[in-house]
Amino acid sequence: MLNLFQTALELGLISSITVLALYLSYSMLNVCDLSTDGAFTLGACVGAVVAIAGHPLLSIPAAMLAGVASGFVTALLQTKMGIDSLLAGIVVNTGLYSINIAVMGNSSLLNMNKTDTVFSGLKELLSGTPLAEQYKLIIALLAVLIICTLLILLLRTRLGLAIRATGNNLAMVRSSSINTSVITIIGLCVSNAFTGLSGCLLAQYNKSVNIDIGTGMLTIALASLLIGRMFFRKRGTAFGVLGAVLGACVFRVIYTLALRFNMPAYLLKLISSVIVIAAISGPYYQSKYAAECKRRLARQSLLEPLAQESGEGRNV
Amino acid sequence: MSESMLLINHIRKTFGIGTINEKKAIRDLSLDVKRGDFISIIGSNGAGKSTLLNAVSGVFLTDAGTITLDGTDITEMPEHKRARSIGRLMQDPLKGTAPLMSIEENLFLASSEKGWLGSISKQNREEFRERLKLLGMGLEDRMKHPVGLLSGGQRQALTLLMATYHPPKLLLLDEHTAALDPATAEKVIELTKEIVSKNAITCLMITHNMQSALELGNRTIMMDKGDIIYDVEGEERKKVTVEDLLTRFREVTGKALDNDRMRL
Repeated sequence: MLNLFQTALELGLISSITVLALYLSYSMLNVCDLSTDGAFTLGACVGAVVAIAGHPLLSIPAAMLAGVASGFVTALLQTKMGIDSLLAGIVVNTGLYSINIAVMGNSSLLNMNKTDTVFSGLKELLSGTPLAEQYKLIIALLAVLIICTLLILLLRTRLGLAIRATGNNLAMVRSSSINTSVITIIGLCVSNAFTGLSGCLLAQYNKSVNIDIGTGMLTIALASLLIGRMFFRKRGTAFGVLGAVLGACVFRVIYTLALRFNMPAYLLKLISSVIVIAAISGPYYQSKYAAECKRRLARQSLLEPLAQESGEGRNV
Repeated sequence: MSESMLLINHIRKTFGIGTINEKKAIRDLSLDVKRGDFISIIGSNGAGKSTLLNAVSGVFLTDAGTITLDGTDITEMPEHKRARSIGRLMQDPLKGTAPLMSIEENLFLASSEKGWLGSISKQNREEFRERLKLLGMGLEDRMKHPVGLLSGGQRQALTLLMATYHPPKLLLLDEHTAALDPATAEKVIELTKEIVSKNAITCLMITHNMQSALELGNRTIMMDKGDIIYDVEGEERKKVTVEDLLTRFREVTGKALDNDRMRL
């Protein structure tokens, strides 16, 4: 059971890097990046190809750079080429499918059973020490820690504030001296670098990559992000980042538990869809209900003074 | 240093050309704004006042004519580049600040200090505190609060502070107090006067309050149908009354100055 929990945690941490990417693009920049699935697979493929070529360490920056390139194209389409932001993501996502197969050398599957990966590298380093069995967890934790620190630091800089302001009040940033196109491009490049890294780590963790590795990743990450939001409501960006990681881990642990209770594995994607629907439409109905209550109260308080006035009139 | 800060030369703007909604918003308008001028702009609805400010700030490019700011031709310059030397306040107090970000984060963004990778330092906070104190609204003790929690007047005052953080060459005020209650509007007008005169900022202000149009600044222009129909400044302006403005408008346009929000 403990072993199962640890595996869930490791997978949760790895996917939390994609959740952090969405925290930047979806929560901060207010762009729903529909190329996430493709960028995740791209990172996985590029990382795998570089690792198979014998450079496990290089696979990390290579996957991130591939993510940057993909994010750059998505951002360029929506800021400079007049393509709607959602459509830009879809178009890039579709294009990436072919690119990903091309990266894997006209194949939809790569096996890394005998390949040196960042995981196997650390496993050798730690062999014989008490931490020998924790090598996967250590790498996942390390990656998440580094990305979290980078993201928190980034969001505190003027660039980060500009990204937040662009997502928060576009009209304001448009009328300031900040070029919103450049901000969107930078934001999507960074977020897709995270997505690429996440894909690269998952592929090496699984010791294989196939073309479907990223399918549904956007919805799963979005579900995690929205779960994470419940932990720290309105507590600043550092807590937001923490919540994103926590959300990803909680999502994965719940999923693992559900599998234990004989839930078929194929339900993962349906459940993540339902979570996203509930998490977004829940607050929507809540605010609608609150507005309705307010209207009802307002109607009552409008009627009350009228009743009083007519009463006073009779007294005079 | 030329004497003109803003030189508008025969600009024209028509919206929806070729459609039934075609609207000549500005027709052949020229205006020479001297360095340090504080001009109040009045006119009925649809006279082209906001269009004029939007043309200057670069929300759209004009169909004809040139706009020169402090000797630089900005006719073709994109909005965000003009924003380096032009500050702007809208009527809607929600438009000038990011509600989910704190007061100090909004100010830091406006201060454009320390490059893209710099972050808020202790010194920055001291500076922000000093400047916020000048507003007299107690915002200096709420620097970590999200701006969304502030009232409309407080947000507009903060926007004013942000727009003038580095005194711009030109400040454009588009009825920036029209959405505020009278007392708050008064306060924001006072702040505007103070900040503009202290930094000697050249300023264009649209207002619907005829009285304050004549009291504020050193020059008043009246617009109708996309052109300037009356322009008065200096000694002559001191003698002008609200009644004169109304008469003048009737003379030139042959109709009463109608405006649902006009305040005499």
